[in-house]
Amino acid sequence: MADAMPLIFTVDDDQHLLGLVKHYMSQWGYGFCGVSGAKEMYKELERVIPSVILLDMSLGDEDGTSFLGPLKKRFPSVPIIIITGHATIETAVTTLKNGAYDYICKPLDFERLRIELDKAVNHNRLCLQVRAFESARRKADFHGMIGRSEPMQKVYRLIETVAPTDAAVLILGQTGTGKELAARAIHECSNRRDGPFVAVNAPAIPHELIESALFGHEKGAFTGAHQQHIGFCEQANGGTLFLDEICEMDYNVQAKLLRFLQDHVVQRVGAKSAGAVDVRVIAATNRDPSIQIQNDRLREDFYYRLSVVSINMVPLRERGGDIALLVRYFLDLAAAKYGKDMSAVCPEAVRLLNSYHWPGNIRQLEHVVDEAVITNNAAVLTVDMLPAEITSTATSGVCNAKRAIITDLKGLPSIEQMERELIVQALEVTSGSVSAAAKHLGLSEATLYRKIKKFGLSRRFVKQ
Amino acid sequence: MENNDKTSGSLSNRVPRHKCKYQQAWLQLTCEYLSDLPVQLEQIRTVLASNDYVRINRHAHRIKGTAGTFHLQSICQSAAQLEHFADSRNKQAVVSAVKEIARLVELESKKRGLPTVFSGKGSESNENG
Repeated sequence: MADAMPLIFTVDDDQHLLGLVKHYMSQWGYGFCGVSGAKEMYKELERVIPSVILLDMSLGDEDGTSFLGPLKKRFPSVPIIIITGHATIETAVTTLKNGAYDYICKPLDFERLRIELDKAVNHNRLCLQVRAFESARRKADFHGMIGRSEPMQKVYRLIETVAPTDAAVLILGQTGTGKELAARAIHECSNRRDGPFVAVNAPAIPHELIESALFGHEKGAFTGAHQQHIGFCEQANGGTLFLDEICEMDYNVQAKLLRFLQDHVVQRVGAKSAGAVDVRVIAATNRDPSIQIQNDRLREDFYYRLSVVSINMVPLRERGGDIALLVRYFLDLAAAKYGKDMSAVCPEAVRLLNSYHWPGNIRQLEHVVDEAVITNNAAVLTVDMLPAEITSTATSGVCNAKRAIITDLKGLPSIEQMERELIVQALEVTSGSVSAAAKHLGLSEATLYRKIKKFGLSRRFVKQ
Repeated sequence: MENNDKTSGSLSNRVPRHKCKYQQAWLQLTCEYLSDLPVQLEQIRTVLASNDYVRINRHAHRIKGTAGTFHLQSICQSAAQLEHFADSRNKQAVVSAVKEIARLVELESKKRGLPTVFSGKGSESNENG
């Protein structure tokens, strides 16, 4: 509406002045709505959305400026211009302080009024644009999680639902799908947001130190314990403890954490007594918990205690238009980080990125964009800046070959392309284990290594 | 009160040049306003009978702003004086100012060929309180 014909909402207790303003508004291409008192004003404002409000300071027995606050609160993007016959510096300062966009004196100078209105209408337009962008950004950015695809909207809704509770949450998803971001989003949406968020990456902590790292230790508790140490569980008191890669944790540590989850009591290594802490636990794994339980890598009781609510993070290839959104997001970040001017992506590159299967998910996409920005000095990210693994597999249509009904030879991948893709998928499924992948594919490890080298598969596919 | 109305003269002189395009609409709105002013002055006289100077001030303030916007400078100035007299609760001066505005309204109406509905009506009855 504001774009079609800006509406100038005029409040003045003189009908003749309203008539004159209406006359000018029609000449200037503005819509007009005029009212002569507060009651009428509020009634009409139920019906219309103004672009600018012209508000007379003297409305019969009422002080027009007393409506400034309520009007600003209701229409924060709408500039309010005060019309006053008492033109003093004090009046001007007071009205501007109270939120008026500007003030204009009576008798009205219509030339000046037009300039003021044009400015105010433009201001309103910009405010609405900013709000629209903000709204779009909010939809695309959920506590640092970028994406507006339907699967991600479901994840956001689940996070918002579960966050205010203190329920333990288990986040499942492939590597690089943003499990820690989801955990942080839960923390930020919860009542614990002012408390600490402590992330523990279990595989990164040496096996012999994990218990001390989690629960802390007293001075002299063991050789090398020169001073008291507060563990992660205590550090997270009043906040959230995020346990990443729980399937990589030692079985015994899982048992101790299970007790912690049940009692919320921490006993530092070497301490004689235990203390209660108020901690919400969120855990994550990139493995299938049921398989891990079968393989005795994950305690069943620990799993059930952790998975009061489960959130499945969606692989990037299933997130539709989010890829383009993420590319632009990472492009902005990388351009700023490395002082480059690259700010756009060519449509063909977007198409290729969209058709790639992204085994490393968002983390891989971020690295691809980073590499393109670092190694090129161009304004636009083009196809030739993408790694070969993206340009070769994506163009072949291999990913969809199993499902697609191929009616044209051009869409049919070659044996070599299929072979490459099968190897990639086998390595993904086995988390980069060449021996397991080779076994599944019916190849010897040596043959598989040779093919990995032949196809130039990057190190990220192979467990080192 | 001397008629120092800067808007007197032909319509094209009274209406700012950039508004000539809209002369007819401007003239019509001005005439409608002039026709209504006697009613407003009558209201002032009614309020004056109860010595409600606050209300007189508001009426005068409104006339000052709107008449000025219509480029009826002499009426605007007289309304400003009326506003001032109401502030100082000077009844005699208020009566004179109302009478002067009435005279100016009549003058402006005549210039535009409007019937002088205002002439005499109530102008004498309340002016001495």
